Amino acid sequence: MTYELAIQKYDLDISPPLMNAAGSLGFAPEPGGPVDYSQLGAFITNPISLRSRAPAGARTCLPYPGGFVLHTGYPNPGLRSVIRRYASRWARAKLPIIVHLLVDSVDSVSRMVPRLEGLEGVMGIEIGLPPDSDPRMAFDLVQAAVGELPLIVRVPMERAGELTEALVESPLTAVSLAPPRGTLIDKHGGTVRGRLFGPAVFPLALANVQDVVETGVPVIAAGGVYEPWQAEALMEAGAIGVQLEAVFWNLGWQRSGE
Amino acid sequence: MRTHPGRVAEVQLHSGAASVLIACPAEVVPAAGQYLLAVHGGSIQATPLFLADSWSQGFLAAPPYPGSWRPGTELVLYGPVGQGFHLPADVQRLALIAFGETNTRLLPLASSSRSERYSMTLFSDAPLAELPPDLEAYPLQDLQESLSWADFYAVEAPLDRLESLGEHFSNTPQGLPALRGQVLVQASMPCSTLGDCGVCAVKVRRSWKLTCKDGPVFDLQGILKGAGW
Repeated sequence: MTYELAIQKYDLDISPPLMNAAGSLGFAPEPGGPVDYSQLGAFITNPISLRSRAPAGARTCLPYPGGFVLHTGYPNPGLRSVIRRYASRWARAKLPIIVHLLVDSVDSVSRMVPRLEGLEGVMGIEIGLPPDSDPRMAFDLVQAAVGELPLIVRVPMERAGELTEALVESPLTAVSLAPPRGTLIDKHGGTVRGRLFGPAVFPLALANVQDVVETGVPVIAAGGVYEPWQAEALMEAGAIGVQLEAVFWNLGWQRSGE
Repeated sequence: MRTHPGRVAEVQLHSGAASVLIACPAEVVPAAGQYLLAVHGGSIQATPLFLADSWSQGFLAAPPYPGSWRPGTELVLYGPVGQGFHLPADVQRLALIAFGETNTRLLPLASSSRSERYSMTLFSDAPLAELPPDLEAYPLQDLQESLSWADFYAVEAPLDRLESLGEHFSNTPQGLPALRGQVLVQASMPCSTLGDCGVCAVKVRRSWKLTCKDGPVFDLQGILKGAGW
């Protein structure tokens, strides 16, 4: 499929308007694997926090019909280590890099954003709002993240419309949709709460895109996209771009070698 | 690395466990401890396939595999990926130890070509597949008595059993630090090595490593030290 619309009029130059979602392809593009990066207009890094985060003790992946629940704790070595390890690869990447930041306080945002400005290859920032964000918290975090780089704000999908309304006047480039969350029972009888992935998420994503579009804020859609027709449907619903996630893990979306 | 076509040729049942014969090009057959990633039409997640035994047209893959697979199911394969078993040349007495619900991923180490190099014994409580004639098998409760016999340990263990791994070796006469071995970690690997998602993360010495990329086979001492032994 071809995309005639590029994300150019929103201070982002992403053409085609397809990218990977944060958490799907690591911290930098890795050529030579099964991913065909020529299909993407930008690369979004895994979520990065100010300090390092260890894997969650109860980390797990639980399948269910139509998808799976993922609980990881967003492990990462911390912003300073990530920049040290990957800045040179970002500079050499053939794709523009959008760095995703895990934010939980105005202070952490204020300390992370300036460190990314001026890094070669980094063309934007995406901040992931905490799942329990309220409109006031969302507004404050976004204000703290505004700087020299275009800003995408990833909002919890279940509350995308509500939180985007609170950000209508904010100087952000777009919102994107975080994976929804749910709970399953594991083999030991305990409950596992985590992010939902898989084709079953797509109807939720399409519905939330329609909600966000009504706010007038540009939205980059994500959620359960496994086939090109789904990306087209999201764009026709008003999304300015689409993020792909677990489809890569299924070696899907136009694998290299095919 | 590119993807390759494959096909489910046959489903085999041994002692209640099902293995699948995978028809594929010879160059993608994984070595012991390595794996292939396999997807099929309609799959949501890739399935890791480990070598259980050799086959002239591909390989016998260890369980588990998706219940939807049938003989004739067309697959797309990626790999082989990961670090497999690499036994030192001076190994003479190999203990194969399976702590999980399966032991078939260790069996390639007991192939006829290898058995000429060393004697070996399997310790496992899992159902036994068809074993090579010169491989003796014992339940895990007999492991303690045999610790002084082996000069190398090839272990297969689920991620959630690694913390207690040292308990099984704590009475070894030569002492924990002297043990030589490797551990094939069983872990869910949902991101197919692409996402650094962390579900398969394992502590090796003082660092976190990913089973999907840095393993799935790790040095035994690294695993023991990572678990605080």
